[in-house]
Amino acid sequence: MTVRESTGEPLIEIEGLRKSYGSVVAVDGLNLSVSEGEVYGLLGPNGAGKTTTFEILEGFRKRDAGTVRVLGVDPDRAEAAWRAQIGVVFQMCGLQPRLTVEELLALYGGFYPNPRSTEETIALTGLDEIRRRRAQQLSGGQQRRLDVALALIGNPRLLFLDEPTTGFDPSARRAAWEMIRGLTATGTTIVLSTHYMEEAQALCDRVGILSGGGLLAEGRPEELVTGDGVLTEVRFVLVNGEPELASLPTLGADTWQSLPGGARTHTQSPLPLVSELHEWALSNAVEVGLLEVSPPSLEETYLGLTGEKPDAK
Amino acid sequence: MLNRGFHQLRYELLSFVRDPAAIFFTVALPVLMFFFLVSIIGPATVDLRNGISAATYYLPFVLTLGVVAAAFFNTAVQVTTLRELGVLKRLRSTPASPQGMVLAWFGTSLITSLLIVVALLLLARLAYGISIGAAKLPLVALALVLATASFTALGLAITRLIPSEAAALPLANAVVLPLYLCSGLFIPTEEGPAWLRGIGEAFPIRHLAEALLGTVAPHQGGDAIVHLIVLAVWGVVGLLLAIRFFQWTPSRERASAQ
Repeated sequence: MTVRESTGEPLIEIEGLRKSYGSVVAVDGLNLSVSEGEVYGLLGPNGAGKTTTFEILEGFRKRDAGTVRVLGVDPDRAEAAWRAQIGVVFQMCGLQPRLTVEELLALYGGFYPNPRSTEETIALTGLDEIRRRRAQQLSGGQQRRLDVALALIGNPRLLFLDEPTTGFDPSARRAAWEMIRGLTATGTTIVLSTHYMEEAQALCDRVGILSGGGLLAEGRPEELVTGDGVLTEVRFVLVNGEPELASLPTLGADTWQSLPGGARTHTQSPLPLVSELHEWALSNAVEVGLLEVSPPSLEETYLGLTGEKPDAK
Repeated sequence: MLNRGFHQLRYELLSFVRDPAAIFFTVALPVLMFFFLVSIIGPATVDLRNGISAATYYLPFVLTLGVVAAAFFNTAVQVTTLRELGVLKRLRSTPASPQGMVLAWFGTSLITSLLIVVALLLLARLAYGISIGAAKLPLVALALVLATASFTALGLAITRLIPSEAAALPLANAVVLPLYLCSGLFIPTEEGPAWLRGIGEAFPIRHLAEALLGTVAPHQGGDAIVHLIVLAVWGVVGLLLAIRFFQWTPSRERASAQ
């Protein structure tokens, strides 16, 4: 994807944000800033504090401590003029069931001083074929697109997308990504939350990894995957037979895990390891049919940081 | 604000007319109630109230029933449903003004009230020969509009106590049914205990019914101005409570650790 340069003006500034529910700490000293024109992704597992952070930024929850400025205003004291500049897609939020897509767009558009046209909004969100359908007749994915359409109808400067594709099948997710990329072309600043690393990698200029209510790491997706402690995966499969794991070279690598007819490991120095592996194959007189050296994905970085176990693939 | 109110009212009404079952039952219930009450008592008169006919006695009371259904029940159920669906939360994220929303809900109540009142007055006139004199019409209209506004405000206020969509109707009934009885809507309370009448006097339902009774039966119903003042005071109380305690987010999202 192309990297957009932000104009630099911070639209969101968070310092030392804290929020607890009773004894449960949801957000614990979060610092974060998002500039105009950026697509910022808040990535984290369930319960990391994503929705709480979003709701504080949107003016729906009061914080316990810290400073928050959204479009230069404390969301706790937000007024209609401020709301007119933001668009919100909630994680789960219903619609008037008996109104059609077109009617809902006209209703919500009427609340804003400078709305986007219904036609443009429908084109951006791909709702043309279902424009006369009632909200109660829409599928989950169609409702989600309508959610986005209603958040865009006011022509917002800043758009919040709270887990925009959770529960989507892979093809619906890709379609949603296309739509979100279309939005970024209009210059809208977007803050989205997700627990899909792929999504953050596909859409975001910058990603913050949120866990336990604070940021574990932050940066461009490609920066995050080349930082310290990031491991490259090396895997191979033999033409015949199974490798004896104990005999494999362990130069700077984790222990080898067995694969059907092969093995895999992670290393910080892939090149020397591959060279050792070559030696090993020659001296053991085995033929390597497949050798793969894959760069670390954001997913592995993320799982390493949040302490979750990667799925066995 | 008024423009915003009308803008939203259009779509509220669109939603409303697309739910024909709800309209039918809201309008049909008071009409059926009127028909059955008058049929049971027949040509007998209500001696406690100066010997007026049963139909004359019950017309103001079913009108009251209708206004309470249109304004209090409909608002409480409708707004709780919108809140639990998340629609109110979504509206709150836009620059839509709460005043505009209240006006739109009041408008919906008023139009529903009007439907019920017209149906009841037609039945009263065609089947029982009762009509409201032209001189009394302004008072009837004023009482109905004021009561609709007050009961809408009270309907908004009570949503705070309703935890879910399913609880809306039972909870509203639990509040209103005892008041119907204390207010003498079905059985005259003149010979009942004083405390029971006292409860009826304290709440707005009886005052609407009595104000309307005065317009169909001469020398009945007491001082209309007093009734209207009580209705207005309850409306203001309802509005203040609603402003103070209104909830925009669904119950499931409140005070939860997410």
